[in-house]
Amino acid sequence: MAERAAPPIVWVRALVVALVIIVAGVATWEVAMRREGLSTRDLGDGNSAWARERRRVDAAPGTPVIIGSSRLLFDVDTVLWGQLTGTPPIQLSRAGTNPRPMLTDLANDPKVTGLVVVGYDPLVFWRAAGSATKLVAEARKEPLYKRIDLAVYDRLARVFAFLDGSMIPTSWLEHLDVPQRTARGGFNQPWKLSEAGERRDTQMWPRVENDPDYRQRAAAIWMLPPPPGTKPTSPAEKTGFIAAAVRDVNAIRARGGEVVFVRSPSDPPLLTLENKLHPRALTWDRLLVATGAPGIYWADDPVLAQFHTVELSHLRRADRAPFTRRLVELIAQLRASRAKLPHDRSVGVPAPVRR
Amino acid sequence: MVFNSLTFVIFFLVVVGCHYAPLPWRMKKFNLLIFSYLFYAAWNPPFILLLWASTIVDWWMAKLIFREQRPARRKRLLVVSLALNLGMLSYFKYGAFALKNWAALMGTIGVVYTPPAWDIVLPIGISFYTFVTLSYTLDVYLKRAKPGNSFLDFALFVTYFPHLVAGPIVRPIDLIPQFARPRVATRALFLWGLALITLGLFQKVVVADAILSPVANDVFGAANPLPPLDAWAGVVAFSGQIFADFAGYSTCAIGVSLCLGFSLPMNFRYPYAAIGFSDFWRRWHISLSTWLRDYLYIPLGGNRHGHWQTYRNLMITMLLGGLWHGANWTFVVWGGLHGAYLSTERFLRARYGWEGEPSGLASRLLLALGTFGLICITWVFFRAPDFSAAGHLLRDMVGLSLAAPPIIATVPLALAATAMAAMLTLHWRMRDVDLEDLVARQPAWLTGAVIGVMATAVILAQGEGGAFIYFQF
Repeated sequence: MAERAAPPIVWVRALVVALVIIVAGVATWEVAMRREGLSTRDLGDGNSAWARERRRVDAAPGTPVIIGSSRLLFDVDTVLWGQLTGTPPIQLSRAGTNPRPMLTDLANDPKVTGLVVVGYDPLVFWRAAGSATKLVAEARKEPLYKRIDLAVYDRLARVFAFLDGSMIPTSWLEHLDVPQRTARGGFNQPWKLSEAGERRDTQMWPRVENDPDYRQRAAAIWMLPPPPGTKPTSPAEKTGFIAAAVRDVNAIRARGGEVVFVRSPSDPPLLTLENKLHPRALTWDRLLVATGAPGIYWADDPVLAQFHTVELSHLRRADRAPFTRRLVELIAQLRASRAKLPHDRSVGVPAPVRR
Repeated sequence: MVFNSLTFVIFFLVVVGCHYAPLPWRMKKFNLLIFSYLFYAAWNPPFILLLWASTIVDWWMAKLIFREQRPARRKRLLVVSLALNLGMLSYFKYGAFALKNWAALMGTIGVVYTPPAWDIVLPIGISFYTFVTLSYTLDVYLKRAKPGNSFLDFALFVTYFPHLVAGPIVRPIDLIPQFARPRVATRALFLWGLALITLGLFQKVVVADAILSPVANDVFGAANPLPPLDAWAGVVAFSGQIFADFAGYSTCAIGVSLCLGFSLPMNFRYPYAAIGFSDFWRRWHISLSTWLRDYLYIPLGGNRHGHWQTYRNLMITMLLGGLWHGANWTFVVWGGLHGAYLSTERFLRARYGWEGEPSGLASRLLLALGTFGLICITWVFFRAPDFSAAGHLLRDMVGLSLAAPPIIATVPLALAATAMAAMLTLHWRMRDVDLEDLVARQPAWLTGAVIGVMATAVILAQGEGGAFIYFQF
């Protein structure tokens, strides 16, 4: 094999030109992205950030854990929760992610002995497990270098606003107004809905609230046709999902933990669609009866029922605090009432508690 | 760890700092060995034990084989080395596959056999370093080389981090002599190394991950029939993705090595400009194809025993080459198709007396496009999870689902088409040109500008640092 040699050019000149372009290019993009609304408050929310929080569950057994999709992720203020109860919950909800594999993962973990709050979004809960299975599996065997990567990334994200996986140039190009050949794609979806702070304390991206056009785009995604090939969940599949949830809830209770299901607000026409596809009596009610777990359905509570969403599915930033306060109160009440109920520890199934 | 990670940036700075520190050469080599183990441990520390086992076994087996003069004993020693290396590879990579097929075989004769759960993690890069260490023992057995004198040099040859997990599959003769004397890069070589790292990262992060992979993933993951344009777009995008991903890794490996003063062999030479399949395999994953040629095809008899034996040897080599990529029959079919292509080309050349390449531009272009099209067919089996999915996609590609709704949006389709057009044009223009020669003919500012644009694109397209496709092999 021949020894390699560098092409005979003036390399220092090439280096200077390259550095000038890199600095100019990155600075220009940084300015453009800040104008789009990105900020250094947002630390991002990749799989590694989720995996880090998942490891905290094992490091601090008994700490409350929140799982679910974007609703409990955006709607709950975990910092305030910590101030109210003395223990901030570990936020494991993930946008667009089914909580069932997460619940199974926690149920299989002997270190999970505390409260598990399960965000219930009917369109997500009753569909196939999807990316959640991979998320959970990858977190379990995450290589060391990814953990180091995250620590470095956290520091860089505090300096550069453009470091945001949802706003890379190719994604940005997808939103160009050109003739489209498909019914759905990046072009009719918002490129960003939330911003994540320390320990995945996440809230609505301000632009969703402040920019009516962007809000309209965000709201429209809920009513898009499902991706090609999406099959509706059969009744038999739902029964299987409920059976798995029963096993998981029992396993957590057998260790002294508790599971609370939370249905947070949504608004028509999304709410109408949710009720049509997954009628409450056949899904939510059935799930609670089968698992014996307490549940909080926002519309049943006079305080929570007052909340409305920004874009059909998530609360505005200012509503997180009152929503969290009420949620914490209700969970405390439910847990207190459950403690008074006869409870067969050998089976771990208490009588259902419903509002 | 992967080259496209922030951890690697820190790791690389530390490695370079230590390599250029005023330390004795032996200490620098020792440092490189330790850093290489750290590089590997950043995935899964316990698997370092396998790496040590492979290193120690082959070091001693090569010595014993060299000392032994009796052919039967030499062969027995070689068998021990092969059994240990290939046994380890088989256990981790093919164990579950073998059990599954055994259960299916039993099922055909009415015996119900449920294999035990085989939840074993595949050690990263095991296929690569197994071939690297085997080449050492085989070279000594075949009397092509003598065993080395320095265990440190041999251990570093096996473990040297730039090639460890995804090649190039280096030969002892390529690397061990380079460890013999102190090496550092000149300023020009160091900056050229950085330029190659940038090019490799651009291929991986921008071309493969940001532009081509979304289209390929959507098509290969589609649950419903696809119109022919979408089906072809996905397959062509995957052909570009796997090239950019793997060639990107090799280019980074070569660049990192150059920064440390070492040369690694070229692994890709613009393969999508190949005219015919022999030409393709002289350009694609060169270090694997030459390994298979030297240690499998030629020992099987190569082309020395007539046409039919040659076709048989080609088929065996390519089928095993396919299986090397993964424990799935789809990979075997991928290899089988390449074996069939190579045999057919050989047959046609012999039958019609074709030699070399045609001289006319149009016929050369046509043959290159035909070669690329047939290679795309093989990628269907390489990427599809099973034969059913591959069959559906092939049906869609021939237009049996004309009325199916498209799934790839306009912009991703346009981006992928642009990237592939650029890639194919570049391969064609560069097919007989060395990158070094091309750069040497350009003004320095232009080279700097191209590197600057690529580096900026890499920084802006930051993602989750996805693993390279070939790591799984």
